[in-house]
Amino acid sequence: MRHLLATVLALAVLAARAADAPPLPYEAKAKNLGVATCASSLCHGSISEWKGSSVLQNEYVTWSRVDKHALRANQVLWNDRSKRIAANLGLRQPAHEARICVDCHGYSPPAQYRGERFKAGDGVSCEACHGPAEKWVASHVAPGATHEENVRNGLYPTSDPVALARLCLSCHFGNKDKFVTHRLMGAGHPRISFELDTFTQTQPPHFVVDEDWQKRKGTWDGVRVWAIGQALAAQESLDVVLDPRRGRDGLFPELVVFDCHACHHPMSDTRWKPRVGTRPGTIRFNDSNLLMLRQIVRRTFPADSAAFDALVLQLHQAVAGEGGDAMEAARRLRNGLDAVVEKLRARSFADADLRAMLAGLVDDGLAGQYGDYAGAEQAAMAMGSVLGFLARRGALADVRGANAALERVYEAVKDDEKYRAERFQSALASLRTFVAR
Amino acid sequence: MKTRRLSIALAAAILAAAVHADSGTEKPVARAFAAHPPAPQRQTVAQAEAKSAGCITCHSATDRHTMHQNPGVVLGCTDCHGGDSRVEKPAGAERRDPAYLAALERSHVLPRYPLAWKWPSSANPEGSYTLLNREAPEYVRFVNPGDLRVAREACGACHLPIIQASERSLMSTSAMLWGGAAYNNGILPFKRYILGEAYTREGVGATLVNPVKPSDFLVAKGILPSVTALPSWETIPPADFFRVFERGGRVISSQFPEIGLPNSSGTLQKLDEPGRPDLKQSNRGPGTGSRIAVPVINITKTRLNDPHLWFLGTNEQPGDYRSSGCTACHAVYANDRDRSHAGVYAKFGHTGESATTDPTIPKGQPGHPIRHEFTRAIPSSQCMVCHMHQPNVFVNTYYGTIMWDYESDAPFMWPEKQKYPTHEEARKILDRNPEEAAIRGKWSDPEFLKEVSSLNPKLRDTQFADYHGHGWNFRAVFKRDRKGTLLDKDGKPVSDEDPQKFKRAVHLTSIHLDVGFHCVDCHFSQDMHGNGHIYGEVAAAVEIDCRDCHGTASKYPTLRTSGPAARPGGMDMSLLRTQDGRKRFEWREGKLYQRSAVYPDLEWEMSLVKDSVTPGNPRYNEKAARAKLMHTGESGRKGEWGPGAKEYAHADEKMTCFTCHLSWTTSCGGCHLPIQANWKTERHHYEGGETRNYATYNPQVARDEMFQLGRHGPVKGGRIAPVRSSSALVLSSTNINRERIYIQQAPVAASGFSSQAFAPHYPHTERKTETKGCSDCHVSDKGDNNAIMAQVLLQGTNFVNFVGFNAWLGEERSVQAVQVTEWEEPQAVIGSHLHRYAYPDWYAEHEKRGRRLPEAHDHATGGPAGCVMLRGEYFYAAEGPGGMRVYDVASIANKGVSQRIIRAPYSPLGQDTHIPSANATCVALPTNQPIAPERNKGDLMRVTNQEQAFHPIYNYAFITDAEEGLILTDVNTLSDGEPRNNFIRRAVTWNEEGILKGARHLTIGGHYLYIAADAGLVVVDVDDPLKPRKVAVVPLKGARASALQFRYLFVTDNEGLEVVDVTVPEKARLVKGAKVPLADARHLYVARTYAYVAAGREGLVIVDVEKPEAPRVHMKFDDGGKLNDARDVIVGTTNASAIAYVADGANGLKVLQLTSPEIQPKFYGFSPEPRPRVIAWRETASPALSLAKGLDRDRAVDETGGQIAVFGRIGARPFTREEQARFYLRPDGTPWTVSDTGSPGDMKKAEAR
Repeated sequence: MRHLLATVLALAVLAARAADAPPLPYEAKAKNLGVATCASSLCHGSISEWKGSSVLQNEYVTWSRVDKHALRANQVLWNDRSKRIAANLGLRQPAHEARICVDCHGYSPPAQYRGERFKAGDGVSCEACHGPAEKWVASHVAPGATHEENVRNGLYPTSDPVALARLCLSCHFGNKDKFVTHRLMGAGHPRISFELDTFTQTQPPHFVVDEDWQKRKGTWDGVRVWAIGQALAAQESLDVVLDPRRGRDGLFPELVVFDCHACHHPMSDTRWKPRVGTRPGTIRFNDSNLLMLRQIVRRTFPADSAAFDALVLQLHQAVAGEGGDAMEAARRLRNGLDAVVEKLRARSFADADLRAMLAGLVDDGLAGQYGDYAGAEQAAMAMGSVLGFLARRGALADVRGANAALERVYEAVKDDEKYRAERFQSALASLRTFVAR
Repeated sequence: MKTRRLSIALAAAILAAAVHADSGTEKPVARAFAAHPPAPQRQTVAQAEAKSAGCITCHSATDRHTMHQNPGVVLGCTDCHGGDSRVEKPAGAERRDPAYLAALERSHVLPRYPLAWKWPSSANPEGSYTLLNREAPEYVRFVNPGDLRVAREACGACHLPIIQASERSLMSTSAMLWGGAAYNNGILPFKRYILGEAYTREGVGATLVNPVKPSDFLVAKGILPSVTALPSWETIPPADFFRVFERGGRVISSQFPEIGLPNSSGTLQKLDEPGRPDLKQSNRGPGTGSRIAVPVINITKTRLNDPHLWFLGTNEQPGDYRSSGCTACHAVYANDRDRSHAGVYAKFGHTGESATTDPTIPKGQPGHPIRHEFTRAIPSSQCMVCHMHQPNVFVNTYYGTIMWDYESDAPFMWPEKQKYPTHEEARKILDRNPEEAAIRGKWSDPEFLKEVSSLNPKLRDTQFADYHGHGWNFRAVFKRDRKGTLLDKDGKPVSDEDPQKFKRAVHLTSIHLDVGFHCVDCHFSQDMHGNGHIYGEVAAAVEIDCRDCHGTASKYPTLRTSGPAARPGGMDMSLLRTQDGRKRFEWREGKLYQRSAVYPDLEWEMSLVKDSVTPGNPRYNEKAARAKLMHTGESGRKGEWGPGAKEYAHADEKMTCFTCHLSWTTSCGGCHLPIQANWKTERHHYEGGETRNYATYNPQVARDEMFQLGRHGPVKGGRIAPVRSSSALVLSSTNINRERIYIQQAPVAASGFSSQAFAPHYPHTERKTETKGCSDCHVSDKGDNNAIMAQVLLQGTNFVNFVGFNAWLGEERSVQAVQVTEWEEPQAVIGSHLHRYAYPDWYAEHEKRGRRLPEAHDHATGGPAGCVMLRGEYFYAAEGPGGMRVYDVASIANKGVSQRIIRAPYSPLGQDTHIPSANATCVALPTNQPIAPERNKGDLMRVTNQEQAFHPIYNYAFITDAEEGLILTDVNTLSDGEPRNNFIRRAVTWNEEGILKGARHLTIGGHYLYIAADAGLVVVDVDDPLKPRKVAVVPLKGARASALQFRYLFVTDNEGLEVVDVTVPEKARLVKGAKVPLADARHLYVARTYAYVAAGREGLVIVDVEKPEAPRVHMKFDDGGKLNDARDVIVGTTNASAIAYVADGANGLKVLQLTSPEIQPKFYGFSPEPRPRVIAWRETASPALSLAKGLDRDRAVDETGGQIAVFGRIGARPFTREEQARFYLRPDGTPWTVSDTGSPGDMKKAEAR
């Protein structure tokens, strides 16, 4: 890791790449045409899948019927909880109109980029992810149109895992423009959890990555997406720490990057257990993504694994006031992550990698690393994803048994209020037996 | 200057007329058309742009380049329109320069019929009809790529399935109209219709075949295997058995110029031998000469609902502007200025003018779409262009409007000076508007017509709508009580004198309209395009159902369609979006919202039935809960309701929601189609072209207060539904010499039932407050809804009966027909309110004659004609010692016939329609509607068409004889279409125990006869007609005559008017204390809530029988002593007015106006208070004794469930006797009653089960 951190050249490349990165849909300078433009029954609004088409053509139907981006994202803004949040925050507009809410619970490109059929109330709609269609809508239906051309014309490259992770995390974690602060939580917003692959599966996807897809858009590796997702999420939380604006709230740091349950439990609950070098009474940085990343780094940069762990430990310690400058620790870790992401872009994971990472996750759990809910939850989702990859590759002997064990793991993290590390560990113990095979 | 401008306008009008008239005869220009490939599904933007390059040099701007709002649609101009996009506007050329015009000719596709299209005008021509069939498809594609003949080429690459579905849909085939007309009028016996309109690309009539052969399941869903083109009318035999009396002899060709000539040389006509009588019954076959099917002429030549999707709108008056095919709906035209009708397009006016940015499209000229743009935000004003026919399409009712009746606010609508239109003027008007009254009214002038609604502030009787498709006027329907008093939203009376009365009274629009709905807010893509199957009935082809949005008492809506034509599992309405991109439906926090398809800013919250019946819910409504949770069985009869019952009285599977959730229904009590054999007119379908023969279209009685129920067909689950009177026809025919060869004859349906048709329907008049209540369908605890019950069960109310051209009298020594109306349209009763305004000159002449009616025809009788009855072409008279005789009155209006009422049109040897008897006192038929029971037989009727059988009483005429008792005679021979076998004889003579001694009158109520005899009122059961059975006798002193209304029989006797409760005929009982003493009560007539008693020297006594058990004299009317020997009375409705006809022994026939806008502002009520005045009279040679009742127009079934009139829709029917009884009788035969308000504590939670 150290050599990565030191490579100025690499940083320069990274900087160039970041500048190259396509603008997120809401940043793009083109008109958003609205769901209705895509939703025609002759386009993406077909009730059934088309044979002989490169896409399913029923994307709108899937999205509209079962995807929470359509069904719930905007509608929750009308409920009592949202009204209460808006009132608590003293918003001048109702939740379903306030930018702070609809930026993520919907899609709010600037007014000049809203076409005549763009409807803010549609939740996270087609162009929120695929980018404003103005410049590619006509060309993407031309005979022989390629994915590259479409992307060149402004289609957001959701097939690129980094771009995808950036896109999803822009709301599911937040980014420089939209961010769920601790104040928002205090006003009543529920805790946010996210894991890119799990959430992609439960969305559910309105696409099928088949041969044809890969021919047009390149190979798709779910593990890579998961790994990149973890890295970007970790980056983003470190960015918050490092950002003098987002990272502070008056006298306090922005609390949302810390583990919620470190504070949010009854006084009678004396749950503290020793872990990664922190002591009782300190507030822990929410390291759930870093915990996952640890496994990824271990298999991807074995040489840097120890350094990475050390950086994470330093961060924790510095945050807890036990030595070192927290900002410096965060910066060092953050810098390294750019390189991690870059490497992950081209990384393919063998079955052995998956197994090792899974074993690492479970073992960390058994070792009590997930004493906090957030880590356990993230680990559970990661285990689910990795098991899923293994199963899909045919590398999991007893899929049913693994699923049953995984079910128990999920059960243990179902309710953050009732989370007990012991139960989680006992569930992990039974899952452990399926890892090797 | 003024004169000059006028003359220019006139010249323009004449020019326009000339072109219009020319369209049928213009010789086509020979042209070679360049082949143009269909529009591609995909192309690059550059490729598309090349196809517009030249076009946009002139069409430099447009609204939507591709018509589609979606920029993902990549098309160039010529992809859709054809033409040559390489041609550019010559530099600097102006529109009138030869170079510009030359470029225009080279770039555009040119028509074969430039005159008809008024080329190079781009406006849709007026009344173009079959021009599209004759024109080259290349040019059709150029002017309207969405026309169904060519839509495959322009739209097919993407939309082929929907084009195919649309072609097969009822919007295009009109199968419901043609099939219904053919079946109900006896032309074709197929209730699973076989006719439908479709054309090939070249405009040739085509047969459509369903994509799959209908399985039994699909057949049960109402899906047809195929529909085929309608043959030309000249080759279709008449269905009706009206006898046509024509000139015979050798001089043929001049007598039959082109009328009904399947063979153009006229050789068929030459079969006739010389030496025959000059005028005689034709022995030429059906379908020749004047023996053609009048309704078919009407279908092919008279504007009814058509033109439909295969043709352009007629583009000549507000409400008629539209294109054809896909474009007919998806390109909006300016038709209506009312925002609730035209939505966001109201601001574009109602004269079909464009607001396009295209500089080449003229503004201020009718016949252009508002924009070059497709939309799904289609306003209901666009639907109204076709769905404007009063009796059977429901955009009018949805708007709360109904056809105007020519009477209300007549002073504004008729010219002060009577019009005498020339034939040319008449033709020109009738080309636009088929109602003949228009040729005399002011509204025939398009300039007057389009501003009719601006008269509203000045009007006294009604308010007019702003659309005038077909040239018609529509009036608003307002909330009224049964007497006709206007009511406000709280049910409080609004004074007729209140200048703001129409603002205060509730206009009975659909609540959906009030909220902001347009048709497309309920009827989505499939309802509009069809589901690809061929249907014959509209109700079967509907996808949406009330519950899909409102849910039921037990379930919230699923937003899945569940109507008869919905796909399995239903269409997911939650996916739908409006044209401007909003989600149409959205649940938010337990509330369901719908967003308007037309207004961009409008959404509304749905009423959810479950909420309305859930106590504690903010939307809880006790009236709704009580209705929906009313228990069935004895608990319900006691008025108990509440959740948890095993079965509910008004459950969804028993009745349609709109059975109660309607404020009013439309009923078209008949239309007169008089054929003019010498009117050369264009055919509006198929091959077009001109032939002689034309029938105008004349609505007679369109009422808004009639509420009737029946059972829907199996396709709608056999549920109870509202039933309307549905386009019943009366037909007349004139020959080439304008001799009226038959008049006002009602045809008979293919099933043998009367063609006074009824059909279950969805009235589209839902409101929240003005719904139906308990006592609209069940016997009221106030005892005041006997007439309502008679109406709701379809037994009839004797109010809207049709007394036509003649009133028919029985007299001491003769029978007589007195002409009481004009022959011209409107057929105003001479001397009436309508007569005064429609025919001021003739009215003045009538006044000058002292109101005496000048025209009558008679025939001597064999004795006093104490009872007479008219059915079809036959007139039945009981003639005392002369027995009972049936006269042939087919030629009653034929000026070529000297003796208009005849005994035997062939010879006494050829027929004999006489039943001799000792002293025939009365004759009655079970119905006065023409029927032919023998047609209703066999598997086709019983199995395929799902028709009920006739009750055997319908074969007979029933005669009372003071000495012989009861005589039956089978009269079916008169309806078998063969006049040469017309012999009738006694089928049975019955007088058991001499009980019928002195029998003098009978009334038929189902299979019970109520006979007035010496013994009193004798009730005889003729369930088996050949074995009559006495079932009850109510002793009365000198019973004279009776009249039946639902549960009560009103009887005159020596002491006055008595009331007999015949709820259960076997237990008939005199209602004590209900007697109205009258010195000399004779015959009587009960019309709704009034009994009209011919009371001898007291004149006409009108008795209020709203509460039959407590009758009271409303008034006695003797016309200042000039009506002092009243013997009989009947009531009929002509247009908006009720008219009474009184037979006065001393003074002859008296015609009384009972209501009119002038004398009774409440004339639109269910039973407005009569205010009689004599408007006409005629003396008789011997004392007038009796009158024939007018044709029943609201009676579909008799009191014992015997069906009389045809029901549209497979398997639909009136209630059986048992089903009727369920509305008001316990199983033990005792009646139960309802209260509209309920009583405290009647809400019972059923025991937990």
